[in-house]
Amino acid sequence: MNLGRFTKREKKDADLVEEIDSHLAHEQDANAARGLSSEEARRQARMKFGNPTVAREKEWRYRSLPWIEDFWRDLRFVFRSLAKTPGFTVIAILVIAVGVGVNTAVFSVVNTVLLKPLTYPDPQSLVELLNTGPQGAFPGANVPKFNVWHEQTGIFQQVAGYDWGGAGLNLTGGDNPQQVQGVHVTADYFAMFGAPVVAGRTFTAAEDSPNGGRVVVLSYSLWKSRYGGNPDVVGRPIQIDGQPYLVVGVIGPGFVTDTESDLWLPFQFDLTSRDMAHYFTVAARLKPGVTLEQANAQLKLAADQFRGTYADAMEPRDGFGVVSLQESIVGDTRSSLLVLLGAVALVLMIACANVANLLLARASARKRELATRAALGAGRGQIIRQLLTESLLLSLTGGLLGLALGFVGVRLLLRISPGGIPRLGAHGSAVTLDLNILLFTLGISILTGILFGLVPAISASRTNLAATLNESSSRAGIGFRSGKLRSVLVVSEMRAGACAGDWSGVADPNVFEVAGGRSRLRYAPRFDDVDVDQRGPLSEDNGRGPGDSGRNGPFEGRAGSEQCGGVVLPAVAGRFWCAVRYCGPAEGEPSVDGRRRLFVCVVDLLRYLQDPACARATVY
Amino acid sequence: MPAAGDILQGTLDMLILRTLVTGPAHGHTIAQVIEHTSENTLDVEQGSLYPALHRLEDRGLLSAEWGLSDNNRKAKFYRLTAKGRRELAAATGRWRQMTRAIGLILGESTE
Repeated sequence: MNLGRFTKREKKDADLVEEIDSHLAHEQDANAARGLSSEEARRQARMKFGNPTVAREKEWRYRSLPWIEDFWRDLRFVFRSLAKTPGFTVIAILVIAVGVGVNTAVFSVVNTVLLKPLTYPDPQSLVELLNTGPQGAFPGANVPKFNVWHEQTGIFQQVAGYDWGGAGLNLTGGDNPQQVQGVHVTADYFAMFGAPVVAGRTFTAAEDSPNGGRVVVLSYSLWKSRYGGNPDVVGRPIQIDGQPYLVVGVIGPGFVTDTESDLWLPFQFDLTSRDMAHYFTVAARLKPGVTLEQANAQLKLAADQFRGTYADAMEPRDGFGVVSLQESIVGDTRSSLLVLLGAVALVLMIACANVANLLLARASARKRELATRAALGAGRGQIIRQLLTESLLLSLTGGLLGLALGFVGVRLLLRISPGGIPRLGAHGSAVTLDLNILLFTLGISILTGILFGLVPAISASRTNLAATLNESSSRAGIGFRSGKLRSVLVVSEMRAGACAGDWSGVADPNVFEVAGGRSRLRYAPRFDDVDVDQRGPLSEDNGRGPGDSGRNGPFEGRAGSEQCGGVVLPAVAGRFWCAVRYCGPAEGEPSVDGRRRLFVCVVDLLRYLQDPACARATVY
Repeated sequence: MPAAGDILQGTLDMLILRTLVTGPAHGHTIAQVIEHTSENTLDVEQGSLYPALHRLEDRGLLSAEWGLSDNNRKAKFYRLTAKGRRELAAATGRWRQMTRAIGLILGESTE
C-alpha cells in the first residue's frame, strides 16, 4: 500500500482547493469565450463542477483510514465521558480486574501444570512404570520389579529409580546447620532425565552398588547458596546427618524435578533383595520409535516372567504397565484444576453481570445524550460501536490491572502453600509469565468487554427519539425491557455465585490435598466428626500413619481394597457436591474423643458426574 | 440506473492516461478532451476527476507540477510517467479483450 496517500492531508487539501479554483477559472474562460456574460459564465462553471466541498470530502476520505479515525474519535469521547464519572469508572475497572485477575491466576497455574511440556529433553519418550490391576494402576517399585524392568532393553533406553525424598537430611559441618531435601536415585537417573552437569560428574555404576561409598551430587541452588558456587567443593567431603559424603558433582540450573531436591544420593541397591515392599518409583526412557502400546505389550510378558520367578508376589490379574511421565505427574490434578478454572470463570461471569448492570443504569441516565446523538444523525451501529468502545476500554484496563493482580496474587499464594500441586517448582517459581498467559488474559478481557457491553449497548441504542427527548429528565427512568434485563442479570448472578461456591469446595486445601495426587493422600481433619462405625467393613491394611506417606504410598499393597466401602459422606456431599471414597481408619489409629479418624479420598467430581460407578472403582 | 454518459467505474483512469499520451495537461483540459473526443457522449463528473488524478499520482502513474496554462492562469499539470505508459498499455489490452468478449455475447460481428 502506498503510505504517501495518508500523509500531509492538510497541505494536499489546500492544493486541491487551488486546483478546483483553477479549474473553475478555466471553465469560466471557456464559457466567456462562447460569448456568455462574466456572471453567467461563472454560474455555469460552478453548476457544471458541482459542489467543491463534496470533491474535497471525497478526497479527504480517500486519504484517511476511516476505521482507525472513527475508533480514535470514539476513544477520545469515551475517555471524556468516563472521566466525568470517575466513581463508576473506578468501580467497573476494579470489578473486572478482580474477575480477570483470578482467572489469570488460575490459568497461570493450569498453564504451568497442564500445558507446558516437561522441562527434560525429549519429554515424550519418558514414561513412568506402573503396577496394574483390576482396581487401577499405581506407581511404586521394589528391587525385584526394578530388576525385571531394567532387563527390558528392547523397549527402554534407560531405566532409573528414585524416591520422593524423605523427611529431610541435616547438612552440618558449617556455621549453620541446614535441613535439606535429598532424593535417592539410581546411577542412570541423571542420564535419563538429561540433567546438565556443571561441575564434576554424576554417580558411577560402582558408586551405586552396595558399599559404593558415601557420595553425593548437589543441586545448583544448594551449591550456590551454601557453597557460594565454588567448584572446589567437588572432591571434598560434606557432613550429611553426621556422616562425611564425598561431593562428586553439581547439576546445572533449570533441572527441575517433581519433588524439589537439594541433593541426590545413590540408592546402592542390593540387587539380590527379595523385599517386596514398594519404596521408590521407576521411570524409563523409551527407545526411539517404541510406542506406549508396544511397551505395555512387552511389560505383559515381563509380568509373567516376574510371576515365574517370585511365585506369590503378584496376583494373576495384576501386571505392569507404563504411562507417559507428564500424565503421571499431573495425574488427578488435571480435573481439580479444570473445575477450579470453571469456578473462577463463574466469578468472571458474576463480574460481567455486575458491570453490565452498572452500564445499564448508566445508559438509562444517558438516555437523553444518546437520543441527542441519534437525532444529530448517529446511526444505531455508531451508537453501539461507541458504547462497545467504552466497555472494551473498561475491560482492557481492568484486564491489564487483573493481569498484574492475578500474577502477583498467585505468586504470593503459592509462596504460602502450593497445595500439593505438582510441577510448580519451589514456592511456585515455575509459574512464569509467558505468551499463553498474555493471550489468555487479552482474550478474556476482550470477551468480557463484549459480554458485558453488548446487551446494554443494544438496549441503549433502541431508543424512541421523540419520547426520550420530550421526556423531562426527572421523569426519565428505565423502561420495562431494561428493567427485566437487570432482573435476569441479578438472577443469573445468584446462580453463578451458588455454583462457584459449590465448586470452590473442590479446591478447598483439605479436600484438594486429598484429591491432589497419588502419594499425597492425607488425613482430612474436616471429616473427623463423622462416625464410621456404621459404615461397611474396613480395610485391614492402609499403610502407615499420616506422617509416613513419604516412602510408601498409603495404599500400597492394599490387597483388600474391595473391602473399602464406596460411600458418599453426607457432610461432604451436601456441602461440596463431591463424591467421596471412604477408605476406613488406619489400623491402630487412636480414636479421638471416642471417634475414629478417617482416611478419606475424594473422587474427582467431573468423572463422578459422568460415571458414578467410578467412585467405587478408583483406587488411589 | 446509470445514464449512458456516466463513465464506467475504473475506466476513468484509463481515459485520463490515454488523454495524457499527447503531452502534459491540467485537469480542465483533460475533462474537455475526454468530452470532445467522445463527441460529447461521455461526461466527466468533475467531482470525481480530481480524486482520480490524485489516486493515479499516488500510484506513481502520473507526476504533477504547477505551471501556467495557455490563457495565463495557474494550473496543475499532469504528466504520464513510464509506469503510467505501461499501465495504459495493459489497461487498453484488458479493455479490448472485454469489449470483444461482450460483443461476441451480444452477437455483434467484430472487426
